[in-house]
Amino acid sequence: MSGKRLELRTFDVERVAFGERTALDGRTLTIDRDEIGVLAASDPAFAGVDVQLVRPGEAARIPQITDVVEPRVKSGGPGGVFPGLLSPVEPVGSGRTDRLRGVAVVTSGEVPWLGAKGLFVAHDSVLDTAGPGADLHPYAGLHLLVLRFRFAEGVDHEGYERAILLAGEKVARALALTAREAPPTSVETRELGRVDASLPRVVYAYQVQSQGVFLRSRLYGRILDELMPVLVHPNELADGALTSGGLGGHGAKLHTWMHQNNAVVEGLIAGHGSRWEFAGVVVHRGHYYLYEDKQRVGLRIAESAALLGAQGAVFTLGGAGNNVTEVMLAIQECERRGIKTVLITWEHAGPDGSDYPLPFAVPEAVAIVSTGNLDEPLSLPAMDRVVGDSAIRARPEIGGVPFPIDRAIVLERRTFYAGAANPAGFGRTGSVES
Amino acid sequence: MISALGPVASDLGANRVVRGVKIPHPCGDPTLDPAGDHALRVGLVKASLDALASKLDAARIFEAAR
Repeated sequence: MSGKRLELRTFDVERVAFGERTALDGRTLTIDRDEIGVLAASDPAFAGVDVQLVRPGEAARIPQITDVVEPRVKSGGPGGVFPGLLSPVEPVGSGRTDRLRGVAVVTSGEVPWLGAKGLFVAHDSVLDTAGPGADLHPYAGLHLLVLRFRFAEGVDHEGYERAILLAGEKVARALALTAREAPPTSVETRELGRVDASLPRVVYAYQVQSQGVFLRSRLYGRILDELMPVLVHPNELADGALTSGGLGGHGAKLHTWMHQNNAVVEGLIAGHGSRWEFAGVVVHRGHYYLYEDKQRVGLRIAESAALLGAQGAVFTLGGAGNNVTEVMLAIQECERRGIKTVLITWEHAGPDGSDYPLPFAVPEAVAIVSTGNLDEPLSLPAMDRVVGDSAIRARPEIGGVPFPIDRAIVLERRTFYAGAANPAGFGRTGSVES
Repeated sequence: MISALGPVASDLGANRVVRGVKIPHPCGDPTLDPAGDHALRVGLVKASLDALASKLDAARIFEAAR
Protein backbone atom coordinates (compact mmCIF):
# COMPACT_ATOMS: atom_id res chain seq x y z
CA MET A 1 0.00 0.00 0.00
CA SER A 2 1.31 3.47 -0.79
CA GLY A 3 0.15 6.87 -1.93
CA LYS A 4 -0.20 8.73 1.35
CA ARG A 5 2.69 10.88 2.52
CA LEU A 6 2.34 12.66 5.85
CA GLU A 7 4.76 15.15 7.33
CA LEU A 8 4.25 14.82 11.08
CA ARG A 9 5.70 17.82 12.92
CA THR A 10 6.22 17.31 16.66
CA PHE A 11 6.33 20.24 19.09
CA ASP A 12 7.57 19.17 22.51
CA VAL A 13 5.82 20.83 25.44
CA GLU A 14 7.69 20.81 28.75
CA ARG A 15 5.84 23.48 30.74
CA VAL A 16 2.12 24.24 30.82
CA ALA A 17 0.50 27.07 32.77
CA PHE A 18 -2.71 29.08 32.75
CA GLY A 19 -2.21 32.62 31.44
CA GLU A 20 -3.78 35.48 29.51
CA ARG A 21 -3.46 34.02 26.03
CA THR A 22 -3.39 30.50 24.62
CA ALA A 23 0.04 30.37 22.99
CA LEU A 24 3.17 28.26 22.57
CA ASP A 25 6.46 30.00 23.36
CA GLY A 26 9.38 27.64 22.83
CA ARG A 27 8.42 24.62 24.92
CA THR A 28 6.06 26.52 27.22
CA LEU A 29 2.34 26.28 26.53
CA THR A 30 0.17 28.97 28.08
CA ILE A 31 -3.57 28.31 28.23
CA ASP A 32 -6.29 30.96 28.55
CA ARG A 33 -8.47 29.05 30.99
CA ASP A 34 -11.65 31.06 30.34
CA GLU A 35 -11.31 30.83 26.56
CA ILE A 36 -10.81 27.06 26.70
CA GLY A 37 -13.73 26.72 29.13
CA VAL A 38 -16.07 28.61 26.79
CA LEU A 39 -14.91 26.54 23.79
CA ALA A 40 -15.26 23.26 25.71
CA ALA A 41 -18.71 23.87 27.19
CA SER A 42 -20.40 25.47 24.16
CA ASP A 43 -22.64 22.44 23.49
CA PRO A 44 -26.14 22.66 25.04
CA ALA A 45 -25.54 19.21 26.58
CA PHE A 46 -23.31 20.93 29.15
CA ALA A 47 -24.23 23.08 32.15
CA GLY A 48 -20.60 24.10 32.58
CA VAL A 49 -17.01 22.91 32.78
CA ASP A 50 -14.18 23.06 35.28
CA VAL A 51 -10.73 23.32 33.64
CA GLN A 52 -7.78 21.95 35.63
CA LEU A 53 -4.13 21.16 35.00
CA VAL A 54 -2.34 18.06 36.30
CA ARG A 55 1.46 18.11 36.15
CA PRO A 56 3.54 15.07 35.07
CA GLY A 57 3.96 12.73 38.02
CA GLU A 58 1.75 14.80 40.32
CA ALA A 59 -0.03 12.63 42.94
CA ALA A 60 -3.47 13.19 41.43
CA ARG A 61 -6.50 10.95 40.91
CA ILE A 62 -8.72 11.82 37.96
CA PRO A 63 -12.20 10.28 38.18
CA GLN A 64 -14.85 9.55 35.55
CA ILE A 65 -12.70 9.83 32.44
CA THR A 66 -14.41 9.64 29.07
CA ASP A 67 -11.51 10.21 26.69
CA VAL A 68 -7.91 11.36 26.29
CA VAL A 69 -6.88 13.29 23.16
CA GLU A 70 -3.49 14.47 21.89
CA PRO A 71 -3.52 18.02 20.49
CA ARG A 72 -3.17 17.81 16.70
CA VAL A 73 -4.11 19.99 13.75
CA LYS A 74 -3.56 19.90 9.98
CA SER A 75 -1.22 22.66 8.78
CA GLY A 76 -1.14 21.51 5.17
CA GLY A 77 -2.75 19.15 2.72
CA PRO A 78 -6.32 17.92 2.39
CA GLY A 79 -8.84 17.53 5.17
CA GLY A 80 -8.77 18.35 8.86
CA VAL A 81 -8.23 16.42 12.07
CA PHE A 82 -11.11 14.28 13.32
CA PRO A 83 -12.79 14.12 9.90
CA GLY A 84 -16.52 13.57 9.92
CA LEU A 85 -16.79 15.11 13.39
CA LEU A 86 -14.82 18.38 13.63
CA SER A 87 -13.85 18.53 9.96
CA PRO A 88 -15.64 17.62 6.73
CA VAL A 89 -15.50 14.05 5.43
CA GLU A 90 -12.34 14.34 3.36
CA PRO A 91 -9.47 11.85 3.17
CA VAL A 92 -6.80 12.51 5.81
CA GLY A 93 -3.33 11.10 6.34
CA SER A 94 -1.38 13.15 3.80
CA GLY A 95 0.00 16.68 3.77
CA ARG A 96 1.21 18.05 7.08
CA THR A 97 0.06 17.58 10.67
CA ASP A 98 1.26 19.40 13.80
CA ARG A 99 1.14 17.68 17.17
CA LEU A 100 1.93 18.84 20.69
CA ARG A 101 3.84 16.10 22.51
CA GLY A 102 3.88 16.09 26.31
CA VAL A 103 0.36 17.40 26.81
CA ALA A 104 -3.06 15.78 26.49
CA VAL A 105 -6.69 16.78 26.90
CA VAL A 106 -8.70 14.63 29.32
CA THR A 107 -12.51 14.79 29.24
CA SER A 108 -14.38 13.73 32.36
CA GLY A 109 -17.49 14.20 34.45
CA GLU A 110 -20.38 12.44 36.10
CA VAL A 111 -22.78 11.62 33.28
CA PRO A 112 -26.38 11.39 34.62
CA TRP A 113 -27.64 7.83 35.09
CA LEU A 114 -31.11 8.33 33.47
CA GLY A 115 -32.20 4.87 34.64
CA ALA A 116 -30.01 2.99 32.15
CA LYS A 117 -29.50 -0.77 32.59
CA GLY A 118 -27.12 -3.46 31.43
CA LEU A 119 -23.94 -2.73 29.51
CA PHE A 120 -24.95 0.70 28.29
CA VAL A 121 -24.66 2.56 31.56
CA ALA A 122 -22.24 5.40 32.29
CA HIS A 123 -19.53 3.45 34.14
CA ASP A 124 -17.25 5.52 36.36
CA SER A 125 -13.50 5.06 36.58
CA VAL A 126 -10.35 6.51 38.09
CA LEU A 127 -6.84 7.15 36.79
CA ASP A 128 -3.81 7.98 39.00
CA THR A 129 -0.83 9.98 37.78
CA ALA A 130 1.54 8.71 40.50
CA GLY A 131 2.08 5.52 42.48
CA PRO A 132 1.51 1.97 41.20
CA GLY A 133 -1.47 3.07 39.05
CA ALA A 134 0.73 5.38 37.00
CA ASP A 135 2.47 2.42 35.35
CA LEU A 136 -0.78 1.08 33.91
CA HIS A 137 -1.42 3.80 31.30
CA PRO A 138 0.65 6.09 29.06
CA TYR A 139 -0.49 9.44 30.51
CA ALA A 140 1.35 9.91 33.83
CA GLY A 141 4.33 11.58 32.16
CA LEU A 142 2.19 14.16 30.38
CA HIS A 143 0.72 17.53 31.31
CA LEU A 144 -3.01 16.80 31.46
CA LEU A 145 -5.60 19.47 30.77
CA VAL A 146 -8.62 18.01 32.54
CA LEU A 147 -12.06 19.17 31.40
CA ARG A 148 -14.60 18.18 34.02
CA PHE A 149 -18.09 18.72 32.62
CA ARG A 150 -21.36 19.37 34.39
CA PHE A 151 -24.32 18.16 32.38
CA ALA A 152 -27.52 19.92 31.37
CA GLU A 153 -30.86 18.21 31.84
CA GLY A 154 -33.07 17.10 28.97
CA VAL A 155 -30.30 15.41 26.93
CA ASP A 156 -30.08 11.65 26.31
CA HIS A 157 -26.96 9.50 26.59
CA GLU A 158 -26.28 9.64 22.84
CA GLY A 159 -26.28 13.44 23.12
CA TYR A 160 -23.91 13.46 26.10
CA GLU A 161 -21.55 11.00 24.43
CA ARG A 162 -21.32 13.04 21.25
CA ALA A 163 -20.95 16.37 23.06
CA ILE A 164 -18.09 15.08 25.25
CA LEU A 165 -16.32 13.57 22.25
CA LEU A 166 -16.53 16.77 20.21
CA ALA A 167 -15.49 18.97 23.16
CA GLY A 168 -12.27 17.00 23.71
CA GLU A 169 -11.44 17.17 20.02
CA LYS A 170 -12.21 20.90 19.75
CA VAL A 171 -9.95 21.76 22.68
CA ALA A 172 -7.20 19.46 21.41
CA ARG A 173 -7.30 21.15 18.00
CA ALA A 174 -7.31 24.62 19.57
CA LEU A 175 -4.19 23.82 21.61
CA ALA A 176 -2.41 22.41 18.54
CA LEU A 177 -3.15 25.59 16.57
CA THR A 178 -0.62 27.37 18.81
CA ALA A 179 2.15 25.47 17.03
CA ARG A 180 1.68 27.28 13.69
CA GLU A 181 4.40 29.91 14.19
CA ALA A 182 6.83 27.89 16.30
CA PRO A 183 9.77 25.76 15.12
CA PRO A 184 9.08 22.02 15.50
CA THR A 185 11.21 19.81 17.75
CA SER A 186 11.26 17.13 15.07
CA VAL A 187 9.75 16.36 11.69
CA GLU A 188 9.02 12.86 10.49
CA THR A 189 7.76 11.84 7.05
CA ARG A 190 5.45 8.88 7.08
CA GLU A 191 4.60 6.88 4.02
CA LEU A 192 4.31 3.21 3.23
CA GLY A 193 6.64 3.38 0.26
CA ARG A 194 7.88 0.52 -1.90
CA VAL A 195 10.26 -1.83 -0.15
CA ASP A 196 12.46 -4.82 -0.93
CA ALA A 197 10.07 -7.49 -2.21
CA SER A 198 11.78 -10.15 -0.10
CA LEU A 199 10.56 -8.56 3.13
CA PRO A 200 7.47 -10.16 4.72
CA ARG A 201 4.20 -8.24 4.48
CA VAL A 202 2.45 -7.61 7.78
CA VAL A 203 -1.04 -6.31 8.52
CA TYR A 204 -2.35 -5.03 11.82
CA ALA A 205 -5.82 -6.31 12.74
CA TYR A 206 -6.98 -3.59 15.10
CA GLN A 207 -10.05 -4.44 17.13
CA VAL A 208 -12.00 -1.51 18.55
CA GLN A 209 -14.97 -1.48 20.88
CA SER A 210 -18.27 -0.32 19.42
CA GLN A 211 -21.33 -1.99 20.84
CA GLY A 212 -23.59 0.89 21.77
CA VAL A 213 -23.63 4.12 23.69
CA PHE A 214 -20.57 4.65 25.97
CA LEU A 215 -18.81 1.66 24.37
CA ARG A 216 -18.15 3.28 21.03
CA SER A 217 -15.69 4.08 18.32
CA ARG A 218 -16.14 6.19 15.21
CA LEU A 219 -14.36 6.13 11.84
CA TYR A 220 -14.60 9.38 9.85
CA GLY A 221 -17.35 10.22 12.33
CA ARG A 222 -19.41 7.16 11.60
CA ILE A 223 -20.42 4.96 14.54
CA LEU A 224 -18.91 1.50 14.13
CA ASP A 225 -21.58 -0.55 15.93
CA GLU A 226 -22.34 -2.50 12.72
CA LEU A 227 -18.80 -2.50 11.36
CA MET A 228 -17.47 -5.27 9.15
CA PRO A 229 -13.64 -5.21 8.97
CA VAL A 230 -12.36 -2.25 6.95
CA LEU A 231 -8.92 -1.37 5.61
CA VAL A 232 -7.33 1.87 6.87
CA HIS A 233 -3.98 3.56 6.24
CA PRO A 234 -1.98 4.15 9.44
CA ASN A 235 -1.62 7.86 8.53
CA GLU A 236 -5.38 8.20 8.76
CA LEU A 237 -5.16 7.12 12.40
CA ALA A 238 -2.51 9.81 12.97
CA ASP A 239 -5.02 12.45 11.81
CA GLY A 240 -7.83 11.27 14.08
CA ALA A 241 -9.92 9.31 11.58
CA LEU A 242 -10.60 6.82 14.39
CA THR A 243 -11.96 8.21 17.65
CA SER A 244 -13.13 6.78 20.92
CA GLY A 245 -14.95 8.17 23.91
CA GLY A 246 -17.52 6.99 26.37
CA LEU A 247 -17.89 5.73 29.87
CA GLY A 248 -17.53 1.96 29.84
CA GLY A 249 -15.01 -0.86 29.69
CA HIS A 250 -12.35 1.39 31.21
CA GLY A 251 -9.80 -1.32 31.99
CA ALA A 252 -9.58 -2.30 28.35
CA LYS A 253 -10.53 1.03 26.80
CA LEU A 254 -8.73 2.49 23.80
CA HIS A 255 -8.85 6.27 24.14
CA THR A 256 -8.56 8.51 21.08
CA TRP A 257 -4.97 9.25 22.22
CA MET A 258 -4.22 5.53 21.78
CA HIS A 259 -5.61 5.55 18.24
CA GLN A 260 -3.47 8.62 17.47
CA ASN A 261 -0.36 7.02 19.03
CA ASN A 262 -1.07 3.29 18.71
CA ALA A 263 2.08 1.49 19.86
CA VAL A 264 1.68 -1.38 17.38
CA VAL A 265 1.26 1.06 14.48
CA GLU A 266 4.34 3.00 15.64
CA GLY A 267 6.36 -0.22 15.80
CA LEU A 268 5.20 -1.44 12.41
CA ILE A 269 5.99 1.95 10.81
CA ALA A 270 9.44 1.96 12.44
CA GLY A 271 10.27 -1.42 10.89
CA HIS A 272 8.70 -0.70 7.47
CA GLY A 273 11.34 -1.18 4.78
CA SER A 274 13.95 -2.73 7.06
CA ARG A 275 12.23 -5.65 8.78
CA TRP A 276 8.89 -5.96 7.01
CA GLU A 277 6.45 -4.20 4.72
CA PHE A 278 3.59 -2.69 6.72
CA ALA A 279 0.63 -3.46 4.48
CA GLY A 280 -2.09 -1.59 6.38
CA VAL A 281 -4.55 -1.67 9.28
CA VAL A 282 -7.76 -3.71 9.31
CA VAL A 283 -10.11 -2.03 11.79
CA HIS A 284 -12.84 -4.26 13.15
CA ARG A 285 -15.17 -4.60 16.12
CA GLY A 286 -15.77 -7.58 18.37
CA HIS A 287 -18.47 -8.57 20.83
CA TYR A 288 -21.10 -9.40 18.22
CA TYR A 289 -24.07 -11.19 19.75
CA LEU A 290 -24.44 -13.73 16.95
CA TYR A 291 -21.85 -16.47 16.45
CA GLU A 292 -22.24 -16.19 12.67
CA ASP A 293 -21.32 -12.47 12.89
CA LYS A 294 -18.16 -13.42 14.76
CA GLN A 295 -17.36 -15.87 11.93
CA ARG A 296 -18.05 -13.14 9.34
CA VAL A 297 -15.59 -10.82 11.09
CA GLY A 298 -12.95 -13.53 11.30
CA LEU A 299 -13.38 -14.38 7.62
CA ARG A 300 -13.26 -10.78 6.42
CA ILE A 301 -10.07 -10.06 8.38
CA ALA A 302 -8.36 -13.13 6.91
CA GLU A 303 -9.65 -12.39 3.39
CA SER A 304 -8.41 -8.78 3.65
CA ALA A 305 -5.00 -9.92 4.86
CA ALA A 306 -4.78 -12.49 2.05
CA LEU A 307 -5.82 -9.91 -0.56
CA LEU A 308 -3.01 -7.63 0.67
CA GLY A 309 -0.57 -10.53 0.22
CA ALA A 310 0.21 -10.57 3.94
CA GLN A 311 2.48 -13.19 5.44
CA GLY A 312 1.92 -12.01 8.99
CA ALA A 313 -0.82 -10.39 11.07
CA VAL A 314 -0.68 -8.70 14.47
CA PHE A 315 -3.87 -8.67 16.58
CA THR A 316 -4.89 -6.55 19.55
CA LEU A 317 -8.18 -6.46 21.46
CA GLY A 318 -10.66 -3.64 21.95
CA GLY A 319 -12.69 -4.23 25.08
CA ALA A 320 -12.93 -7.40 27.13
CA GLY A 321 -14.99 -10.58 27.32
CA ASN A 322 -16.35 -12.45 24.29
CA ASN A 323 -14.70 -10.02 21.84
CA VAL A 324 -11.77 -12.42 21.88
CA THR A 325 -13.93 -14.86 19.88
CA GLU A 326 -13.82 -12.76 16.69
CA VAL A 327 -10.06 -12.42 17.02
CA MET A 328 -9.52 -16.14 17.63
CA LEU A 329 -11.65 -17.04 14.59
CA ALA A 330 -9.66 -14.52 12.52
CA ILE A 331 -6.40 -16.05 13.74
CA GLN A 332 -7.66 -19.48 12.71
CA GLU A 333 -8.70 -18.24 9.26
CA CYS A 334 -5.36 -16.44 8.78
CA GLU A 335 -3.28 -19.46 9.81
CA ARG A 336 -5.31 -21.68 7.44
CA ARG A 337 -4.28 -19.30 4.66
CA GLY A 338 -0.63 -19.52 5.67
CA ILE A 339 -0.58 -16.11 7.34
CA LYS A 340 1.35 -16.26 10.62
CA THR A 341 -0.29 -14.49 13.56
CA VAL A 342 0.57 -12.95 16.91
CA LEU A 343 -1.95 -11.76 19.49
CA ILE A 344 -1.38 -9.10 22.16
CA THR A 345 -4.00 -9.58 24.89
CA TRP A 346 -5.07 -9.12 28.50
CA GLU A 347 -5.92 -12.20 30.58
CA HIS A 348 -9.16 -13.00 32.41
CA ALA A 349 -7.17 -15.19 34.79
CA GLY A 350 -9.13 -14.72 38.04
CA PRO A 351 -7.98 -12.77 41.11
CA ASP A 352 -4.87 -14.91 41.69
CA GLY A 353 -4.00 -15.45 38.03
CA SER A 354 -4.58 -19.21 38.02
CA ASP A 355 -7.76 -19.42 35.92
CA TYR A 356 -7.96 -20.30 32.21
CA PRO A 357 -6.94 -16.88 30.84
CA LEU A 358 -9.08 -16.44 27.73
CA PRO A 359 -12.81 -17.05 27.25
CA PHE A 360 -12.10 -18.74 23.92
CA ALA A 361 -9.03 -19.96 22.06
CA VAL A 362 -8.17 -21.89 18.91
CA PRO A 363 -5.25 -24.33 18.57
CA GLU A 364 -3.78 -22.14 15.80
CA ALA A 365 -3.16 -19.27 18.28
CA VAL A 366 0.34 -20.24 19.32
CA ALA A 367 2.03 -16.82 19.58
CA ILE A 368 0.40 -14.73 22.32
CA VAL A 369 1.83 -11.77 24.24
CA SER A 370 0.18 -11.14 27.62
CA THR A 371 -0.26 -7.60 28.90
CA GLY A 372 -1.36 -8.77 32.34
CA ASN A 373 -4.36 -9.92 34.30
CA LEU A 374 -7.53 -7.85 34.09
CA ASP A 375 -9.00 -9.67 37.12
CA GLU A 376 -6.22 -8.99 39.62
CA PRO A 377 -7.32 -6.61 42.40
CA LEU A 378 -5.61 -3.24 42.33
CA SER A 379 -4.54 -1.48 45.56
CA LEU A 380 -3.94 2.23 45.14
CA PRO A 381 -2.66 4.62 47.81
CA ALA A 382 -4.33 7.95 48.59
CA MET A 383 -3.43 10.75 46.15
CA ASP A 384 -2.76 14.36 47.25
CA ARG A 385 -5.47 15.67 44.97
CA VAL A 386 -8.72 14.41 43.43
CA VAL A 387 -9.56 16.25 40.20
CA GLY A 388 -13.31 15.91 40.67
CA ASP A 389 -15.70 14.69 43.33
CA SER A 390 -14.56 12.67 46.35
CA ALA A 391 -16.59 9.61 45.33
CA ILE A 392 -17.47 7.73 42.15
CA ARG A 393 -20.46 5.49 41.51
CA ALA A 394 -20.03 1.76 42.00
CA ARG A 395 -22.87 -0.45 40.73
CA PRO A 396 -24.07 2.07 38.13
CA GLU A 397 -26.84 -0.27 36.96
CA ILE A 398 -28.83 0.59 40.10
CA GLY A 399 -28.06 4.29 39.90
CA GLY A 400 -24.74 4.12 41.73
CA VAL A 401 -23.49 3.40 45.23
CA PRO A 402 -20.95 6.00 46.41
CA PHE A 403 -17.38 4.65 46.37
CA PRO A 404 -15.01 7.13 48.09
CA ILE A 405 -11.77 7.80 46.23
CA ASP A 406 -10.21 10.53 48.42
CA ARG A 407 -8.23 7.84 50.31
CA ALA A 408 -6.41 4.56 49.66
CA ILE A 409 -8.66 2.30 47.59
CA VAL A 410 -8.83 -1.32 46.47
CA LEU A 411 -10.44 -2.01 43.11
CA GLU A 412 -11.58 -5.62 43.12
CA ARG A 413 -11.55 -5.70 39.36
CA ARG A 414 -9.50 -3.50 37.07
CA THR A 415 -12.41 -2.55 34.87
CA PHE A 416 -12.78 0.63 36.98
CA TYR A 417 -9.23 1.71 36.24
CA ALA A 418 -8.62 3.51 32.93
CA GLY A 419 -6.10 1.67 30.77
CA ALA A 420 -5.41 -1.09 33.32
CA ALA A 421 -5.46 -3.94 30.82
CA ASN A 422 -2.97 -2.17 28.61
CA PRO A 423 -5.07 -2.99 25.54
CA ALA A 424 -2.62 -2.21 22.77
CA GLY A 425 0.66 -2.74 24.59
CA PHE A 426 1.16 0.76 25.99
CA GLY A 427 1.94 0.18 29.65
CA ARG A 428 4.69 -1.78 31.30
CA THR A 429 2.60 -4.71 32.46
CA GLY A 430 2.83 -8.38 31.58
CA SER A 431 2.69 -11.75 33.25
CA VAL A 432 5.10 -14.48 34.36
CA GLU A 433 4.48 -18.22 34.14
CA SER A 434 4.52 -20.04 37.45
CA MET B 1 -25.74 -26.45 27.78
CA ILE B 2 -27.69 -23.94 25.69
CA SER B 3 -25.28 -21.28 24.44
CA ALA B 4 -25.23 -18.69 21.69
CA LEU B 5 -21.50 -19.33 21.38
CA GLY B 6 -21.57 -23.08 20.74
CA PRO B 7 -17.86 -23.52 19.97
CA VAL B 8 -16.95 -21.47 23.06
CA ALA B 9 -19.10 -23.71 25.26
CA SER B 10 -17.56 -26.90 23.91
CA ASP B 11 -14.08 -25.32 24.16
CA LEU B 12 -14.75 -24.87 27.88
CA GLY B 13 -15.66 -28.55 28.32
CA ALA B 14 -19.43 -28.83 27.72
CA ASN B 15 -20.07 -32.12 25.82
CA ARG B 16 -23.67 -31.51 24.83
CA VAL B 17 -24.19 -28.01 23.53
CA VAL B 18 -27.41 -26.74 21.97
CA ARG B 19 -26.95 -23.66 19.83
CA GLY B 20 -28.84 -20.74 21.39
CA VAL B 21 -30.10 -17.60 19.67
CA LYS B 22 -27.92 -14.62 20.69
CA ILE B 23 -25.68 -13.78 23.64
CA PRO B 24 -28.22 -11.49 25.38
CA HIS B 25 -31.13 -13.90 24.79
CA PRO B 26 -29.93 -17.49 24.21
CA CYS B 27 -33.33 -19.09 24.94
CA GLY B 28 -35.68 -16.80 23.04
CA ASP B 29 -35.96 -14.08 20.43
CA PRO B 30 -37.63 -10.76 21.33
CA THR B 31 -37.98 -9.89 17.63
CA LEU B 32 -40.53 -12.74 17.15
CA ASP B 33 -44.21 -12.59 17.99
CA PRO B 34 -45.26 -14.57 21.12
CA ALA B 35 -46.29 -17.64 19.10
CA GLY B 36 -43.03 -17.69 17.15
CA ASP B 37 -40.99 -17.21 20.30
CA HIS B 38 -42.87 -20.07 21.99
CA ALA B 39 -42.22 -22.38 19.04
CA LEU B 40 -38.54 -21.47 19.15
CA ARG B 41 -38.37 -22.24 22.87
CA VAL B 42 -40.09 -25.58 22.41
CA GLY B 43 -37.55 -26.41 19.71
CA LEU B 44 -34.68 -25.58 22.06
CA VAL B 45 -36.10 -27.78 24.81
CA LYS B 46 -36.65 -30.68 22.37
CA ALA B 47 -33.11 -30.33 21.03
CA SER B 48 -31.82 -30.30 24.62
CA LEU B 49 -33.72 -33.52 25.43
CA ASP B 50 -32.38 -35.09 22.24
CA ALA B 51 -28.88 -34.03 23.27
CA LEU B 52 -29.28 -35.59 26.72
CA ALA B 53 -30.54 -38.83 25.18
CA SER B 54 -27.68 -39.04 22.65
CA LYS B 55 -24.69 -41.28 23.20
CA LEU B 56 -21.52 -39.33 22.40
CA ASP B 57 -17.93 -40.24 21.63
CA ALA B 58 -16.89 -36.58 21.45
CA ALA B 59 -18.33 -33.16 22.23
CA ARG B 60 -21.10 -32.15 19.84
CA ILE B 61 -23.12 -29.01 19.06
CA PHE B 62 -26.83 -29.69 18.49
CA GLU B 63 -28.98 -27.41 16.36
CA ALA B 64 -32.61 -26.87 17.30
CA ALA B 65 -35.17 -27.12 14.49
CA ARG B 66 -36.20 -23.58 13.52
